[in-house]
Amino acid sequence: MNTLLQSLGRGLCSSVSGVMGNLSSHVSHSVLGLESVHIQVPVAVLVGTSATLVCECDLPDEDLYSVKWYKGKHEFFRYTSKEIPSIKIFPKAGISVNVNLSNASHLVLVNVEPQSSGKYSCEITEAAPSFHTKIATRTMNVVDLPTGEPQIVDMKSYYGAEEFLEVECRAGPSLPAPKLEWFVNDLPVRQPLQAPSRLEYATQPTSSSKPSSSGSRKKQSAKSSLHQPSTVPSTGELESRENDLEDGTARGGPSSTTGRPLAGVAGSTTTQDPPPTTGNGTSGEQRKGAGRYELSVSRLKLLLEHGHFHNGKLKVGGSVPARPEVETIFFLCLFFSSFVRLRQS
Amino acid sequence: MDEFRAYVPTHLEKVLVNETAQIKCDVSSNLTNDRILLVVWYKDNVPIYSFDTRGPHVNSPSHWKDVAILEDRANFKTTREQSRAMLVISPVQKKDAGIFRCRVDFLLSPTKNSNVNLEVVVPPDVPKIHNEAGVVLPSHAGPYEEGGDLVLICVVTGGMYPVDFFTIFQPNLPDAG
Repeated sequence: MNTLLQSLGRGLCSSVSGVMGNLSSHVSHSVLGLESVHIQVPVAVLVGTSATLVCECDLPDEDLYSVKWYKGKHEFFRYTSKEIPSIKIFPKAGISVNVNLSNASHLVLVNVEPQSSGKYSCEITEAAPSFHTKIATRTMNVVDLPTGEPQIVDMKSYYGAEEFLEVECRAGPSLPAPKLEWFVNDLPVRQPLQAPSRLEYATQPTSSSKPSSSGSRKKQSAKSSLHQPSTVPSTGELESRENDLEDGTARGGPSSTTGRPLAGVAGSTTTQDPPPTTGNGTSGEQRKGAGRYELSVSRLKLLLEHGHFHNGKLKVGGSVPARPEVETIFFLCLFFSSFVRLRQS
Repeated sequence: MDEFRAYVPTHLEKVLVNETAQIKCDVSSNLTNDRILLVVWYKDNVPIYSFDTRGPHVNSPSHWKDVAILEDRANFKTTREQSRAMLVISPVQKKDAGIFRCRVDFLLSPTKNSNVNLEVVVPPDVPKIHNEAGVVLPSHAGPYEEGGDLVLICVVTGGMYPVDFFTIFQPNLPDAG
């Protein structure tokens, strides 16, 4: 006879951006030849906002012939010191230059789009006759935040004493995919839970192609013991990771029920129903444009032992990736002695 | 500089040492009424040649070359319509090998960059034939005793590539007696 799980709980799934949470500029110096070139390109810029790219060297103005900005190999901005007008713009998709605010050392891009992401090179050329030149290159990423909050789905009302709690957190779409972390009682789940509570896994899809993503999730769950929670690929890996929710082909799966097998196979059941709660952030929504908007899904499976969870809670929240401090918005999943409630805050 | 170079198309050009190297540069423009303002050649990122047709030089372009590197062996040539151009180096030397970047600044079009990887092929020296004692044999070897051993050593120096050896044996027997 099952005894009802007696704990009060909130679920937290906190999402952070795959880009390390801040929009500060990336500063570096490279010394080439006799002069040093100072290039400064923001690592991450919020879509729709402006970005200032800096490229300067200690060359006196009369010795300067031109400053050119390239995206990839395509020149889109040229400052020529002895010409009037001194600034020339060559049209390039995804790039809008504010000519009035730009000059030899500062390039102002406005209304950046996902397509604006890429490698930017600055070439400073000395005057005639030799035209010595220095080139420096940096990458700029355009990021976009999720519109809604992350959501926990598949949470049941009742859990038996020996019954696994298996839930899923979804966040996004955003650019790049959000990072997801699980907290239990405000503690990150990666900390070992007090026995006999046990974390079976906390997964995140990591593969890039649709057909194999469920395969990779299976591989992850083949490990039976404590998993590394979440961790999306780090800052450096901003490659596209397709998610099988995006194309909608996996929609319409069965909704989770109490009959879910307790075998540790995370991804074999892909429930694609919209989250039961009315919320912002439709799963599977994808904005138009060249950007790789992605959802993140993390499944958490753990065993809650009644005696150790007086106020056991699973919180669901989300943080705004690119702001300096992390904001957590809580969804409360409450469970306590005689009943379990699912509530949104 | 290397990151930017990855975007620039690179073309391989091989030339025999002491011959004439013709290093092409793409100076074409899609826009009508466009013209070249400036062409600069960089070798291993250092400028070695510039062709300046801006302002006062419109009708008589100004050539500058780094004589320490090119001496007087180099000249930049364009066709009349400025559709094709090349840097001509003659006679080309082994030290000229390397990556040449051609940068073209246009009046109306964006700047064009193209790379040429110049490989200067140096053939090996004429082979020398030694006998066992290490004496160089100018035209003939011997005399050798009939029934004895004849050993010839062929030595090749110089060149850049592994050498294949071929032996051509042409018996030329003396008249009997």
